[in-house]
Amino acid sequence: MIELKGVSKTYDNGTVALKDINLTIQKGEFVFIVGASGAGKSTFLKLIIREEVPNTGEITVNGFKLSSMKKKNVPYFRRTMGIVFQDFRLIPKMTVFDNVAFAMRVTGATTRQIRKRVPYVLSQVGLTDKAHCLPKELSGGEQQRVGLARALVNNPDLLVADEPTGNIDPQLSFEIIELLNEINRKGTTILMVTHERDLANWFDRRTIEIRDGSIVSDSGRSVSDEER
Amino acid sequence: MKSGNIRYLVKEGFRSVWVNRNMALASVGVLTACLLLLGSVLLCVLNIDEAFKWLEKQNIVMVYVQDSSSEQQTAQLGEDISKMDNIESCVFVSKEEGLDKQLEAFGEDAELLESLKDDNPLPDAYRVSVKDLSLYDQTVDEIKGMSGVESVASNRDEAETMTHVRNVVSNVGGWVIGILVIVSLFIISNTVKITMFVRRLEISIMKSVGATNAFITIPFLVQGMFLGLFSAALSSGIIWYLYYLAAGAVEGIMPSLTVIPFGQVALPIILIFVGAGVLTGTIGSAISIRRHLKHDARGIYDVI
Repeated sequence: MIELKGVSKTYDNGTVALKDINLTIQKGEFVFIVGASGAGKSTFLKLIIREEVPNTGEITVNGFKLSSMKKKNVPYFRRTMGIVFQDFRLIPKMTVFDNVAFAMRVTGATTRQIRKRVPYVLSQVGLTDKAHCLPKELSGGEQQRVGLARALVNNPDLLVADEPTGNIDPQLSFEIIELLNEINRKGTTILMVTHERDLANWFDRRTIEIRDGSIVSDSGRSVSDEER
Repeated sequence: MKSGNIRYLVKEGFRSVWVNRNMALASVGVLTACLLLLGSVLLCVLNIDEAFKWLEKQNIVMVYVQDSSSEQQTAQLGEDISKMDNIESCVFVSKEEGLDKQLEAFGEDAELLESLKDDNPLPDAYRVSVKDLSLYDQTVDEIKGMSGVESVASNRDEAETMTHVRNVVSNVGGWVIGILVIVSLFIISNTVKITMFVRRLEISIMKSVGATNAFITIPFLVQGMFLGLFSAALSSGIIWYLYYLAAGAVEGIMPSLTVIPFGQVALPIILIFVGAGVLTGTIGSAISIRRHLKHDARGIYDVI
């Protein structure tokens, strides 16, 4: 599913972000990537979603070889994943429904497909009643659930969550991760980046720690619920 | 591409115009000015060409007789002219008739010139019409060389003046249009660029969910096209009204001149406006899209 072989990334300004990373994440895993800010988490994430390309090494995600991939194929690669952002990235003028529908619309879905799929995804994140609200009428936790619904609407194999709990109240953070757990149980691979180590520890899942551009610890493959 | 998508992309294009309406207004303003100038130059040139045709049909030469000539000499001159090969007709116009005609042309203001009747400054003349227009210049030169001829008023001078005006109008107009086209391109591409900036959140989300570059950029192309189309429509309306005013003014000053009715040239003018407007709009936005894709392509993470 995700494979990094000898991946290093140095930015043009000379900043060394990642050094010789080797990592394999299997389909269906739930993985926390932890580390302090500046450790290289963001770069790691950007490499996975092909926002950046490594200087050396090979990255394979969802069957796409990212280093040799042509630019024009990037959109089709991105359709195999959903991305959840720390700052939610909701369009303020659009309702909850439209925000989620937007992700389908811009990848060429028909109105009929959208009308069928969006209510289902909203029900999954418990926002059926809020479908016609604007983002500003929602709490932080609810806004992030809209972000989650948008990431899930195109039925991705991999969900990448970048500090999804960073902007919401701590008690609501658990709610979001519970939701991610539920999504993971249905087979979606989850990669969650966070600087909150405690949060990762609480949920006994595979945790990879990055420090100064290197992996310093990897709790190993987590046991999925089916295997337990 | 599915029809639903095309509808969506066009709708988004219109929304882009609305989102950034102040800049849209500026773009339309400059492009409209450019198109209006283009239209004015075209209409000027068309009318001058039309006047040329009219002038060519007026194959009449007025031959003025020297004041000192006797009646006999004058009659002889008339005969000589009539005998020439290329002459259709040669009619004598006495100085009195000439003055009457002038007074007639002045209409109501003629009273001012009534006093001239006692001291007529006009010479006797022959109104000569030519058979073959291609030999027109040669014939005029021949008549000029005859004895007793004071001067020959041919439309060659008018033709020269008109050619000169036509050249000046098309040269100066061409330069100004060229400059305005560049300004229009600059403003439209900036309008699109700013719209892209305003909509950067949407663009970043689009990129994150895997929208293709075409899908992301087509609305901006539609935006540019629409700005061009709107400018073309606006210019068509304005030029129609301006032409109507100008034609009225010209006919008031020079009743003998026939101005081409707008209806006759409306279709080509509007088509040129639409073509030039849409082309400028599309190229303008294409410049920004290209720059966006090539250089400062904002990534998913560069929203703010």
